[in-house]
Amino acid sequence: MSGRTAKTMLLSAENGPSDADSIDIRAFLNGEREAFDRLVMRHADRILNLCYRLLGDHEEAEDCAQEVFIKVFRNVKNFRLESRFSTWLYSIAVNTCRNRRKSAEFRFWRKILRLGRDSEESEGGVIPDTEDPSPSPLTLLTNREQERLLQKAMADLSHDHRVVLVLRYVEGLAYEDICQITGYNPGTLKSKLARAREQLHKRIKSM
Amino acid sequence: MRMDCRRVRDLLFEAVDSDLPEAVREELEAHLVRCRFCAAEAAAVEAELEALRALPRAGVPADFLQRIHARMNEPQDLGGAGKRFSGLFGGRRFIEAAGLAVAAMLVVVIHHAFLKERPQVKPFVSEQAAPVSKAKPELEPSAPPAEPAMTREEVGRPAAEFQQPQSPPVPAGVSRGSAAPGELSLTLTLKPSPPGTANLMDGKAAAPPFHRDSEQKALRAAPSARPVGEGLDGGAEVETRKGGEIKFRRGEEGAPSGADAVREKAAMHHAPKPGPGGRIHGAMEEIKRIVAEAGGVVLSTAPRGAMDLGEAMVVAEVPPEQLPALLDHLRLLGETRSEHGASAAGEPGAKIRLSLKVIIPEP
Repeated sequence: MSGRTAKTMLLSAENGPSDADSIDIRAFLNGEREAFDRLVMRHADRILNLCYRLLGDHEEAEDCAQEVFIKVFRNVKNFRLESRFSTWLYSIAVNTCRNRRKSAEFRFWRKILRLGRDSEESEGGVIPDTEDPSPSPLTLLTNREQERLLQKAMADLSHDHRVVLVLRYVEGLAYEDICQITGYNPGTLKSKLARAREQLHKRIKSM
Repeated sequence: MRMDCRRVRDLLFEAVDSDLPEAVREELEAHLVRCRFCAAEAAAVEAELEALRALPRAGVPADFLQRIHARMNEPQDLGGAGKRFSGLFGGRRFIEAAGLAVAAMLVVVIHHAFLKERPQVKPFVSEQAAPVSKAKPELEPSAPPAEPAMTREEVGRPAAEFQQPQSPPVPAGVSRGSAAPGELSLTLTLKPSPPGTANLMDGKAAAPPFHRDSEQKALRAAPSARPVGEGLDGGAEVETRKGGEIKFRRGEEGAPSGADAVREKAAMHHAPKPGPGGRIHGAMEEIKRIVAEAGGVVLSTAPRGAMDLGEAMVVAEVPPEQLPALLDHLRLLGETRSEHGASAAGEPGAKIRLSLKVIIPEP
């Protein structure tokens, strides 16, 4: 609980940067090109991380993140300053990742990469033996192995479940922010989070 | 209220973030104290969520901003959709496939244009050639005198539609016309045959299939032969069947008075029936024999389909000196008539090509 509280505090501290976002947006709309660069560098880390956790591939994530900022560059004039810029940015990133995952090209390459990864795992034996009676194989893994296992388990989830898990636990966003980004009402979001946790737990246990 | 483990397992995923009623939460915590299996499951779920929170963050490349600038400065950047489109249709494989498709279309167009410049081939089915189903139109016809093979579309045409080879020297009784040298085109109208009997042309006609009830049909057709009372007169019984032959099991003396009529009717029923197909086939066999006796050779015949329609076509080559005798033999089969007439003889020593259309007169 302490980690979540810390992240919530961190998000609350973003009120300052969000004010900085408003200033930079106005400056950019007034023709100051460097203001856009400041916006990018301020949010690149979170957007890139979100894309990586949603897509599962570094190159795709970077390409997708660049696409997000290009969309911002072209549509920032339509942004209403009364809402938070980061929320608007997250919603663009989530939709861009959803479209990217739907594309035939992405599915094709993901299938190819998954086949290669499976064969590599079968040779290297990275996935532990699940006959161990311990409740979760995560307890037996190093941090790097945990990351691979979690990423693999999340890759099998639906896009909606993955989005709510990443926004809530990886990005540490508050419920109201997630509701603004995804468009869910709080009840739907809690229900989706519960189902997402259950699906993730089942997949990890089956590994 | 005591919770069972299944209920607890369901609540574990809801209890993380949801605001459970106080009573339910207390009961859940009490169950987790009592049940170590559910407690282990709850710990596993919490460990998974902690692992999610502890995931390392992806680092931003140093040139991330420069790449964005480069993409924004691309004048024809179509965005994600454009990139996906170009990824699917702009790759090397797509270009190779498109090139192959264009090349194939060019081959088809050139081939089609070349064929249009060639004369249409309308030949007969050659007897020496492969079966009709394997015949293909030949672009380069083989050496004469063989006619090019007939296309499959042409097989079913009546003989009257076939291209008529031109005609040769004129024997006696054949009118002159405008045929090519060394060719003769004739029409042979077969003589009418007596109904119900097999003649020369009917000889090859296929016999109708045997009807098991032919005897009964004969009996019905000849009421006088029908037995009266029980059994036949004198105890004769009809026995037989196969081939349409009627026998009496118990002696000829026991045959009914109408037995002869029964035999006659049955014989008529099983006799080969005259028909256009049978007559044409018989005539074709006879014509082949006549040509062979005259020292000639049959080059081609009309397809079977045309024969069944009552018309047929024969193309043969015969020595010029045997032509009068051959025509005399043909006149035994029916009336001969020049279709296009005949012209002067061809080269000395060359055979005459005879195109003979065989038809059956209208009844």
